[in-house]
Amino acid sequence: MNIKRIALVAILVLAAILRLYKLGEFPIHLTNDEAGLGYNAYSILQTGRDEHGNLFPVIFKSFGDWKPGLYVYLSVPTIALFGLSEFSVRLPSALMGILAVLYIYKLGSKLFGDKVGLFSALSLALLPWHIHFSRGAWEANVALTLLIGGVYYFLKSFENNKYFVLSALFLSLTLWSYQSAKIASLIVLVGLAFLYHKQLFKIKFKYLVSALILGLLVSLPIVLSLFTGKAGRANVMSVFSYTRSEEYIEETVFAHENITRDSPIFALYHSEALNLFRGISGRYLNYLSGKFLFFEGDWSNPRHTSVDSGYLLYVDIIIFVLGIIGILKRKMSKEVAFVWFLFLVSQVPAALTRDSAHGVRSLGMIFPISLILGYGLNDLVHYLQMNKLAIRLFGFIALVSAFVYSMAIYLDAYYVQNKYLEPKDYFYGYKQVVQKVFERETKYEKIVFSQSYDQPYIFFLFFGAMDGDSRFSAWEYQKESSFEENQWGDVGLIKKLGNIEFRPINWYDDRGLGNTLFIVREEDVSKSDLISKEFNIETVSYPDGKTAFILINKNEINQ
Amino acid sequence: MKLINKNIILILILLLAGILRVYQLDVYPALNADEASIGYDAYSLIETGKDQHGNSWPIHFQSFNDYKPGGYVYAVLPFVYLFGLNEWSVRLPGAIFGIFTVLAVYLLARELNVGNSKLKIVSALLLAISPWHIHFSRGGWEVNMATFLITLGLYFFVKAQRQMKYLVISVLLLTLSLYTYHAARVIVPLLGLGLLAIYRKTLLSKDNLRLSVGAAVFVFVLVVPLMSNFFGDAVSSRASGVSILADRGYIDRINEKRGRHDNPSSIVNRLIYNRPKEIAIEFGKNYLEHFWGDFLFISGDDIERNKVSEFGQLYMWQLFALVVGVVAVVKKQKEWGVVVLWLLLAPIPAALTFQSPHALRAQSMIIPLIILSALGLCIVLDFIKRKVSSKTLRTIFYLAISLVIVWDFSRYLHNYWVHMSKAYPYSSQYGVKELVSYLANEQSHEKNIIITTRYDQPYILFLFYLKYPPKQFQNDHVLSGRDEYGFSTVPTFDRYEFRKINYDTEWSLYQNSVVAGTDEEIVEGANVIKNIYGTNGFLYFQVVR
Repeated sequence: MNIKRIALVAILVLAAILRLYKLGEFPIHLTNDEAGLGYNAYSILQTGRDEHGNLFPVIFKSFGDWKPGLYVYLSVPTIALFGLSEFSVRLPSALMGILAVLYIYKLGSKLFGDKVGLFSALSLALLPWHIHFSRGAWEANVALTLLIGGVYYFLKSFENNKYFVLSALFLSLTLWSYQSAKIASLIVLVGLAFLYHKQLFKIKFKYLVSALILGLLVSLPIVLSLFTGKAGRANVMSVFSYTRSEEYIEETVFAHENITRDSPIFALYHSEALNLFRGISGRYLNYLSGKFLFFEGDWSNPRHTSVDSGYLLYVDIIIFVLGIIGILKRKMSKEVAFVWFLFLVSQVPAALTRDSAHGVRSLGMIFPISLILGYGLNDLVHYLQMNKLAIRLFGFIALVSAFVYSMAIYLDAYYVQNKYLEPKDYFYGYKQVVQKVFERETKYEKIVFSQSYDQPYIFFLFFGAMDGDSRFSAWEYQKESSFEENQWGDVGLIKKLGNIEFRPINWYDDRGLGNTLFIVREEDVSKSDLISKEFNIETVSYPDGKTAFILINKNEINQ
Repeated sequence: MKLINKNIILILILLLAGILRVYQLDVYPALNADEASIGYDAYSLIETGKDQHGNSWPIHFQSFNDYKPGGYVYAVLPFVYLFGLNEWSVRLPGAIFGIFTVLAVYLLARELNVGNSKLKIVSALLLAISPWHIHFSRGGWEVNMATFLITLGLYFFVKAQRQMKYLVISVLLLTLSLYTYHAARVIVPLLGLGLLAIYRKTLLSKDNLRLSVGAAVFVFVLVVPLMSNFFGDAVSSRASGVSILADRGYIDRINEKRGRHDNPSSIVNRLIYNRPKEIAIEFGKNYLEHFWGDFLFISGDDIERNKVSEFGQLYMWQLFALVVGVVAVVKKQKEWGVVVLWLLLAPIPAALTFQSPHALRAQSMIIPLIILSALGLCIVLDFIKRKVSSKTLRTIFYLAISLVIVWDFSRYLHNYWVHMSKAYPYSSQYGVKELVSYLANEQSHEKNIIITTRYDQPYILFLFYLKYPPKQFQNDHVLSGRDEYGFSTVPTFDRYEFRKINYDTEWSLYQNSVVAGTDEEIVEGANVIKNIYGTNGFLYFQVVR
C-alpha cells in the first residue's frame, strides 16, 4: 500500500468516526421527519406498504407533504439488520456521508490531481456542515452523495464509456432522494453538458442510449408525480408565491409620494419584480456571507446548525480564501470552469425559496466548497514544503493545531452545548413522554395528548414499534390510520391512535374530565392547577431543567 | 483654457459631484445633534476662544462627553467666521471634502499606473455618484474629511515612490487624518506598516533612507499632542466604551458554556472557552460582515441615520464589476498593494466596535471598493470593444450597461430625495428648527419652556438655532453624568429645560411653563397652541401652555 492509499484510508476512518460515534444518541432526539422515515421503512419491511397502506410507493406521503422514497428504502435494510431504532434510521445518511468523502477524493483527484483529491476528502471529512447532516436522516445528504458520485462517473466515462450509464443512474436517483434535488441536478447536468459537449459526442452510441433510457426510466416516476400534485411543498416554499402585502406597499411607497400603481415611478422604482430581484439576490449573497459560512450557519433554523458554530471550521476561513485565490490564479480550463460553475449555482435553488438562509436546501454548496478547501489546503501545504525546515516545522505544527483547535470547538458545540440550546427544536422529550404514557396508560380510560405540528402520533408509532408493542406494528396501524389534511392542503394531522387522542387542549373545559391522562405543554394549562393538590403532576424536563411536557390527571383520591 | 479642454470630462464629473453634494445642503436632511455641536463649538471658539463647555482650543471636543476629534471643527471654523452660524457653514466643508475626494481618487487611480487609461476617470465618476460617499458628504460628517485626507495622502505616497519629496506631504496628510476621526487612528498606522512592508525596497534604499527616517520623526512630532491628549482619561475611556473589548457579556457566556462540562475549570475547557477567543471570534464575525453582500449591495447599514431605504452601500450592479475587478487583481497582484491593503484594513476599526457592519465607521472602504469596481467596469468595456466586432451589437452592449447604471443612479436619487426623510423620520432632528423659530417668535417671555428629550440632544440644536451667546452658556450650565451608552447631555440652560415629559402624572409641574412634547407625550385634551411639523411633513412636537 502506498502512502496515498494509507492517507485515504485514514481520512475515511476519520470521516466514519465523526459520522458514526454515538449516532443513536446525538442528535439528542429523533425529529418527526426521522421518525416518519423510520416508521415507513419499518412498515415497508413488515408489509410492503407505507403507513397509509400504499404498496411500495415511489413518493411517500408524510404529514401531508410528499417525500421521494429513496431514503425510506435505504433504511429498510438497516432496520432489518439492527431493528427499529434511532441508529438504524440515521445510518443510511451516515454511510452516504462517508461515501461522499470517497467520491470527493476521486473527483478531486480527477480534476486537480491526487493531492488535491486527498485534501478535498480531508476537508469534507472535517466539514461541520457535512458532519451535521450526515448525522441524522437527512435526505438531502443522500442526494449530495449521489450528485458527487454521478459527476465523478460522468467524468470517468470519457476514459471508459461504461461509466456513463452509472452516471445516469446516480444523477437520476438524486430525484428519488430529495425534492429540491430536481432543480439542483438539472442545473449541474446542464453545466456538465455545456462544458463537456465535445467529449460527450465521443461516447459510444450504445452507452449513450442506454444511459438515456435508464435515466429516463428512473426519473419517470418522479417526473410523473409532478403532474399528480405530489411535488411537495414547492409552491408553499417558493419565493415566487410571496409578494409584498398591500399594507407594506401602502406604508413604504404611497405614504411617501403621491403616485398610484400605474405611475411610471412605481414601475421604475417600486415594482414587484424589483422587490423579488432584491430579495433573491440578497438571499443568494447570504449563502456566501461570513456569517452563514463561518459564524452562525443557518440562522433561521436552530436545528440545522450547532450552537454558535458556522458551517465551516474557523481555520477554514484562511483555507477557503487561499483556495479561491489558488483556483483564480490557475489557468482557465474545463475543470476550473466547472468548480466556478458549481460555486456560483449551488445556492441558486435555495435562494429561490423564502427563508433568508437554509442549511439543508443549500447543502449542494458543500460540493464546490470541499474542492475549494482541498485546493487551498494543498497550496498551503505545498508552500510550507518549499520552505526551510524550521519554517516548515513551525508551519505544520501551527496548521495542525489550528485544525485540532477548530475541530475541538466544533465537537464541543455538537456534543455538549447543543443539548442546551433549543432542545425543543430537536423534539426533545417525546421519547421519555411516550415511555411514561406506555407505563401508565392502563390506569385511565382516555389519554389526551396536546396536538401540534410536531406530529406527536409519529413518536408513538416509532417508539411503540421499537418496544415491540403489537398495537403499533405496521399491520395494526394501517387498519385504522386516520389522517386528516389541513385546510391549506399543506401539512395534515392525525387525530387518534388507539386509545390516545391528539387534540388541542382547552384547559378550561378539560380540567374537569376525570379518569383521563393529559399530556400537555406548560402553556396549555393554568399555573394554579400545576401546584394544586387537586391534580397529579409528572413532568419531563429538557437538559437545562426547563419543562418539556407535563403529564397531568385529576387526583381521584381527593374526590 | 488648454487645461480645461484636456480635462473637460473630469471637470464635468467634479461638477456633477458638486451638484449631488451641495444641492439643498442646508435643508436636507435636517441638521442632527452632532452637526449642531460641531457648529456651535466652532462658533464658541470664535466668540470666546473656548468650546461650549469652556475648554480652550481643544484637540478633542468634549461635546456630549463623547470627545469628538477636533479636525472637522477647525475646518468648519473659518466658514462660521465668514458666513455666520448656520447649516451651510457646518456642512459645506464636508461637501467640499467630498468633491475633492473625487479629484483625489482620480489622482490616486492615475498614479497607480496599472496600465488602464480609463481607470482614473471611471473611478472618479463612480465615486461622484456613490451612494455611500454622497450620503456622508451631505452633512458635517468628520469621517468624510478623514477619508479625503487618507486618499490624498496615499496619492502622494504612491507618487513619492518616484519623487521622494512627496513623502513629506503624504505623512502630513495621513497624520492630519488622525486628528479628524477615531477610525483613522486604527487604519492609518496599520496602513503605514503595510506600506512600509510593500515598499520597503524604495523606502529603505540608501538614497531614500534619510528622508524616510526624517518623515518618521516628523510624524512622531505631529502625533505627540494627539497622543498626550488621547491618553488623558476622558478621551480614551469613550473610545474603549464602544469597543467589543468592553463587553462584560463574554464572561457570563463563557461560564455558562464551561459549566455544562463535568469539570468546568479543566484545561481543555479553558482553552476552548476563554475571553481572547470569544473576542477574536466576535472580531472576525464583525469584520466579515463588512463584506456581506446584503450590506454592500442590497440593504445597507442597519442604522437609519446611515442609510437610504431599499439601498445597499453600493449599487447592485457594482457586485459584478467588483467581482471582475477582484478577479483581475488576484490574477495580477503587482501595483495593487495599496488598494488591496486599504480594503482589507478599512473595516478593522468598525469590527472592533459593537455595531457591525457600520457604514460610518468603515466609510473609507468606499475608496478601494470604487477603484476595484471601476477596474471591473473598465475590463468589461475593453472586452466588449475588443471582442465584439459588430458595431450594432457593441452599441447595444454599451447602451444596456449605461441604462443599468443610469437607472440605478436615478433610483438612488429617488429614494434619497423622496423616501429617506419619510422612511426614517427619526434619523435626523427634523422639526427642531421649526420649533425653535416658533418659540422665539411666540413665546410669552415670563414663562419657562420645557422641551422633550425624546429626540436625541435637543439642547445643542437650541443653542445652534438661537445662536445663544457662548460666553453665557459656558458659565451657566451643567453637563449630566454619562448614560448607559456613555453620552452626557445638558438638562437645562437659561429658561429652557429638557426632560422626559409625563404629562398626565406630572401636569402640575408644567403649569407655569410652555411645554413642547411629542404627540404621544401630550395627553388628549391638553391646551395645544401649536403643532410643529418637520420639513418631511411629520408631526414632531405639540406646544402646550
